[in-house]
Amino acid sequence: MKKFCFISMFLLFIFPVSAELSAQSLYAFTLNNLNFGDVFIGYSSEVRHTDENAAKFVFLHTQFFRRKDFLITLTLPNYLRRGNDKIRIKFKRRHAAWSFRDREYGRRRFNPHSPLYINNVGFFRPVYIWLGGKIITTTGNIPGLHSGTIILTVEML
Amino acid sequence: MKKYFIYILLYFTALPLFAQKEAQTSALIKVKLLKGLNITKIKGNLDFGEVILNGDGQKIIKQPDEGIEFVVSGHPNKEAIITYKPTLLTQSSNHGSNPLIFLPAVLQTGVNINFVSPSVVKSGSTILLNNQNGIGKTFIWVGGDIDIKPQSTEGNYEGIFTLTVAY
Repeated sequence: MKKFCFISMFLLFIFPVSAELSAQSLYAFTLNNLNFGDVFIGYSSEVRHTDENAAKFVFLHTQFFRRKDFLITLTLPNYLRRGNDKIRIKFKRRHAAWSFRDREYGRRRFNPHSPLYINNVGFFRPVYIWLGGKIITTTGNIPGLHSGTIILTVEML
Repeated sequence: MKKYFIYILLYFTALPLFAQKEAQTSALIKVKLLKGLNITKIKGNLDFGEVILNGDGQKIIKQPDEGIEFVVSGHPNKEAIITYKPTLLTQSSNHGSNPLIFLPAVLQTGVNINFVSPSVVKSGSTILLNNQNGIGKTFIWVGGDIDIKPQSTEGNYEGIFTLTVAY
């Protein structure tokens, strides 16, 4: 009976606690939005990954003493919109980069339209991702604020 | 003891099962589209006509409402900087010697196409492009004066007056 109680307690209490402790082990944050600023109608504008107006993300995992592999995917819009009006936006390899350090030197560029694999990442080691882009406006576009959304998905393998 | 060891082992092997495997975050993309600036002449000119030289110095004046009217259009409710400077008027037949100086007088009437409640626009000052049905507009009037010196010779004097508008 005593043994049964112990096992029951183990399953009912210890397991959920362990699950709670380890549940949030992967964190991803947005540090900066992608901002093209003011652009005249009929002109194009480009933001490089090194630009301070580029989007910036960071993620890390907190699984103690484990090194993990990650699959990163970006969900990118084709257009920025304001009501029915839309502006074409393009993301090329020159617009995307990642690094373990928050600095320009040593960044590795990647194709933002393809999944990015990052292997062997230690716990609490931040991984930074930067993303710029290029917009092409036409004379038919209407003035005002146009917007879109980038979604970063990080999967721990 | 062996049982406890199994429980502990089970505990640690269970940890990764509960671990979160995916995280997601999003960033906003923003751009503000602006209408480009445009200056269009509506009416008038800066032709001062014929002046009879009398051997004395004289000043000929063209009031702004008798000069040129422009409309500056651009992004609604955005400010633009206007710059201009005096213009040298020369005689092509006289190789540019003894030029006359045209001193411009620039006024604005806001959204009013007519010469109503004008205000002075100094070079380097800003004007507001008032919103009129989604288009920023301000009407600009240019006149000015020319000092004719006693030694000025007869003939046609010409020059190019440039008015620049920039965001």
